[in-house]
Amino acid sequence: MPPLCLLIRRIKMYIKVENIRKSFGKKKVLENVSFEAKMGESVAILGENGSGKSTLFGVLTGLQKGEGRFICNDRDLIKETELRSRVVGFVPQTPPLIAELTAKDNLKLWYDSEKLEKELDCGVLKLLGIPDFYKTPVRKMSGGMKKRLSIGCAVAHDPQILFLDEPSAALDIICKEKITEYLTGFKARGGIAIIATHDAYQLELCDKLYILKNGILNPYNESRNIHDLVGCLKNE
Amino acid sequence: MSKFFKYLKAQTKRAAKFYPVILVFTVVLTVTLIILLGNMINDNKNDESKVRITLGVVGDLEGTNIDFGISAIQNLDASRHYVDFVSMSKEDADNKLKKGDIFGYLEIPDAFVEALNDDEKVPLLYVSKNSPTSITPMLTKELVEIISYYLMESQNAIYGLEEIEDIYGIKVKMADSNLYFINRVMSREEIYESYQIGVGNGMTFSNYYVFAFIILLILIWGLSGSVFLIKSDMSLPRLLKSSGYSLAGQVFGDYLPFLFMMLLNLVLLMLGLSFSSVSKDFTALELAMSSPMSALIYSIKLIPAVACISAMQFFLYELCHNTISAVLTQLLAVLSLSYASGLLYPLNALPEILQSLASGLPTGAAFNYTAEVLNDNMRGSSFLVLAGFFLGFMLLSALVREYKMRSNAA
Repeated sequence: MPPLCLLIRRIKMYIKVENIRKSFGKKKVLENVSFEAKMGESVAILGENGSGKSTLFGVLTGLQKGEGRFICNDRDLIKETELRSRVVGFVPQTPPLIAELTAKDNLKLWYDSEKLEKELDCGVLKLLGIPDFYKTPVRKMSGGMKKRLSIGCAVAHDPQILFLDEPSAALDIICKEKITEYLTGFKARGGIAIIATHDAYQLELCDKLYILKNGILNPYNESRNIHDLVGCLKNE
Repeated sequence: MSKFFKYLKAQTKRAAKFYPVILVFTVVLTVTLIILLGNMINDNKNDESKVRITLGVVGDLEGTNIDFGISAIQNLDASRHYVDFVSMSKEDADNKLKKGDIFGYLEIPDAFVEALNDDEKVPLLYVSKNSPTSITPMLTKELVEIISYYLMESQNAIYGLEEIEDIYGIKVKMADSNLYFINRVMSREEIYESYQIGVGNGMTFSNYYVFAFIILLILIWGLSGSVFLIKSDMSLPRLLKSSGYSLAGQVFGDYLPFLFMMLLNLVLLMLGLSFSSVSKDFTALELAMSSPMSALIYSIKLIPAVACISAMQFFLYELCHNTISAVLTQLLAVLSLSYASGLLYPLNALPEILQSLASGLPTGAAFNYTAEVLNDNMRGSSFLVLAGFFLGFMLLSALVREYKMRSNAA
């Protein structure tokens, strides 16, 4: 039985991404991208660098304009921005942190004082190991610390849908383990995680796998062996 | 509202980390500029009271009344405050003229005295270096003409008296006659009064430059914003916006620490001046620097001027994507606005079109406001102009931030 502070009531939910389209001038970056996920699932999106994964995440989290629908329990989160800001969390590839400030000062932008204390004691921040570098300035942190801190910032409002763009890029194995552990817990609490990743650890964690290539998203149901995946990415 | 204060607190903490280095730069720069300004104003005061042009006098005048006449001009005439006559040989005069040690020289030809005796006119020769079309050589030429006229006429009178002595056998008290002549003709000290209208809006030179200096300092201090105001990556602002941190809140949250820093610099400067004796040399600062409390009060009164200029600089920082372009943009703005607003040269030395433009510039408006505050003559209209500029620049900054967020997201 998990500790009481980790029990979070979740509305049973599902998401449906339908026909997301995005162009930069004449270049089509995303062409009718669609996928689904339900409560407690995680979706991995693979693609080469520049294939449009970050753009897709940008459109779905409202940081970029795009066409299509992002349905969550019959409500379109692309249109309902306030609902989206409450249920969606986003961990971008480059940690959006203020370099001159400490972890504590960065977290204060996202948490109120009471919740911050609680999460540091026994919540998600403790799980991510943030108390170990709580007073360290961001510019002195390692890549792993920054990534864990940015996850901590992104989940401050208890999102039910979490987008993570390359969460394990350039991290050591211990950091990857911590992040994977966190995501496992997130899923167990009923959250939906959509991860753009090339990491074998996280690929194993994910329930569904999609390949984004030439702006088209296709499900991948075959071997999760990394060499097979590379071969799939290279093929047309 | 609480999100705004959270963001403001974070940005203020961030700015505070940079402030020690910024303070060192500010102190070094300010002290250097104060020394330069002080020297400039002192030189001007010296110049105003003792502008002396050195003119050479060439010719063998020993024993002649010309020598006496020139000595009289040198020692008795009002022009002695401005002109030094120095006897020298022609060779010396030419050399000194080339080196710039003298402004020009008056050559009295050998035939001059004889010509006077014979009631003929032989012109004096005035040799100068500078082009006759600029103001100082023209005025010097006029002065030499006047002196030549005095010399000629006084010599005519003196030699005339000597002839009368010879012809009529009368003994003329030559020295008394000369002195009488000199006192009647050369006593020009009470025939005019002079009044200086000042360099701009009736301000004295030193007051003008004190006000200009304050605005120039604020402009230069603003360069320090380049270490923490540049936003090349808009991902955090976009994330914050999607989390409920409004665009206006972010813009003001970034701007206010910058303003606080500029105000702190101004307070430190004013307090420092109130404790030093430097301010006693400047009448412009008499009221403001009479005590530390007065300095603090006047610093608060100058907030609108600081806010206007820092808002303009903040807007320029919003336009830039990296530190180098930001510093170059700020330097260009400092130089061009300083010149156009009359901060580097008195405004009335500039073309008329620039003079009318100056008060319409943010730096010109800030200068006028500062002069009014330090003269205890503040007008509401000046404050409103500054408020207008401030709001305009903040609005433009918000629009630029919005555009950058969208174009990053496009």
